Amino acid sequence: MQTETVRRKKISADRVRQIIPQVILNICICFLLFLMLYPLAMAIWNALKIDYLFENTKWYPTLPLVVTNLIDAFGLLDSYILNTVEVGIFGGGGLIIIASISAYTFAKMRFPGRKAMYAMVIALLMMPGILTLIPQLMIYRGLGLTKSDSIFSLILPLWTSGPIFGVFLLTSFFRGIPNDIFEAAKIDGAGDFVCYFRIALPICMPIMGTLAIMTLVNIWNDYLWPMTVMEDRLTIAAALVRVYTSEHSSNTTMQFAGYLVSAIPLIVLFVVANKYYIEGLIGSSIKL
Amino acid sequence: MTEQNSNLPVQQAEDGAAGAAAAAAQGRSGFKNKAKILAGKIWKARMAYLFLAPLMIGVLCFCYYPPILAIVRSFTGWQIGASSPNYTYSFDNYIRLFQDSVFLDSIWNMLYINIPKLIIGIVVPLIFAEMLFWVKRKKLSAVYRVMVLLPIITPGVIGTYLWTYIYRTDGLLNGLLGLFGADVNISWLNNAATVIPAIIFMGFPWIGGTSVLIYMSGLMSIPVEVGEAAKLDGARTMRVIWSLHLPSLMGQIRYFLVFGLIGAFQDYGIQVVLSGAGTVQRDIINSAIMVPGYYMYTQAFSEGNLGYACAIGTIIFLFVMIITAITFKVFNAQKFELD
Repeated sequence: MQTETVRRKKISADRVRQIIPQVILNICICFLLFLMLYPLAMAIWNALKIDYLFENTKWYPTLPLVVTNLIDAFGLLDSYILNTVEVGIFGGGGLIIIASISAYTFAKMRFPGRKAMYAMVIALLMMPGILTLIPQLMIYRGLGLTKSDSIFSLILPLWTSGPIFGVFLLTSFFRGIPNDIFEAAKIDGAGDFVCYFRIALPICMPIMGTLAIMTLVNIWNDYLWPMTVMEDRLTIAAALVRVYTSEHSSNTTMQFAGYLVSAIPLIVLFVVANKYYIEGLIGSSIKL
Repeated sequence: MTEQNSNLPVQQAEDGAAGAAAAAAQGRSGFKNKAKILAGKIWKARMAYLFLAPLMIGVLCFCYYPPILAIVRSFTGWQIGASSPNYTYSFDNYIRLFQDSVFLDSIWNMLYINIPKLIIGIVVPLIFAEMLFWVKRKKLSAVYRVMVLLPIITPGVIGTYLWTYIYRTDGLLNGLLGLFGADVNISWLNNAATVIPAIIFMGFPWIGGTSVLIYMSGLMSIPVEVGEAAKLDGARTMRVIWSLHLPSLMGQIRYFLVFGLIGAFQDYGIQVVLSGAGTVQRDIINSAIMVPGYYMYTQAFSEGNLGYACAIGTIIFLFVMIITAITFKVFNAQKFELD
């Protein structure tokens, strides 16, 4: 009996010794996450604030929450958001198709010039993009894309230089699939495309999802290229920089409302796909 | 990887053998035969070239041609809107560039801003990934992972704008300092002495985004048994981190370092954002935080000096190439080669 209680006490003492560091660790993590998320939260409550309350209470949330600013901001930004969605669907979709089929070819097919071509593509990862900015703009001007403010000048870069990182990411992933599967399929009479489409792609869905989200986030974030190449049909980030923020420089709540509205599609994407994304990132082992 | 190599598709291995036999049989016209065999191989692999065509055409036309054009034009007085392309080639742009004090100062600004940012971007997510790794409750850890990713839902420019509110004269930072009794009343981004630290400090505590998760993926790929063995050995947490985790994470650290360096030298996004909204005065942007990339941008699109801008771009390009080559040598990275 006595030894039993002694043992119990010992166990609980051990447990306390284990729990305390865990508690401290979790508190530290929560504090850091709070600091990180505070500016975002600030955007949310200020977007929902009545204008006259803003000056004195901008650092913390207040009631009542009003959505009039949000509705106004949506009316001003919806065309830009649609533009960005369009670029995301066509540009991002093309990027993923090109990247995945190229990566499959590099990883699983044998042909003369394979190594050289791969090196040519991957070397571009190291190429500072800044040097291409000016001539690229001139090329797009030469093609007549800038004059018509064609959305193609936002899509084309995604198809041409966009897939490079995807090729890097996916090639290492495809290489990890054992060759036996493909050989068995080939004996059964499957062609190269069937091998890619029916075997390689389904296995790589998580990492493809990760690539898709990365691409969409990049499209959402990019403002330098759209600002350089487009007149009016800007993407959302470019519109925030060039048009929206300066037009509403005196009305801060309206600015915050715009920020919140511009994030809505990504919020939806995040809610739907964050599990995929995290799985893909954790499984991807991105490294050099 | 050698394993895969030995499993070359059966058909092609046979092909090679047959080809070699044929070459031996007709040893006389060796070169012709070799060309024939190569052509045969290429024809056999035509599907591969078809699959790669979209990528390679795009890469050649839009990734290789423009920089070459930029380097060539950097030796000319290329102006925006100049109708007759009658270029004379000279070193004038480069001579002017190395006497241009704005450009020379901008290099130092770029280093002051981006080296601390780079170090922060590598070290802080690593520390936070370690912290998450040691959380025992799996459910909590999963929640934290989702929260770390949350900031990606807003366009990055919004993060910058939100921080400009914190830095304003009536902003949060001055308010916080006021709580501690310091009566500070400066606009942090509109002050030549504070603007660089303010930019570096933006995004504190720097843990949002994908970096933490990329480190986590490295930590989780360490076999569990190795960790268990270390624990049985009674190794302290710090020792496990130092001699087990850090060596395993070198690949990730290298990745962030190389791409961080490449990005750092050409980055000018923050300048565009801060000048766009008029939150920061022109002369601050044009002197205190002028960086080479932004100088190129303004020379090209405000002044129309395209040839001069190309020269700036070429110099940045050379810088990045040298730095990348050195980092690759130092770290002996070979991950880019196919087996």
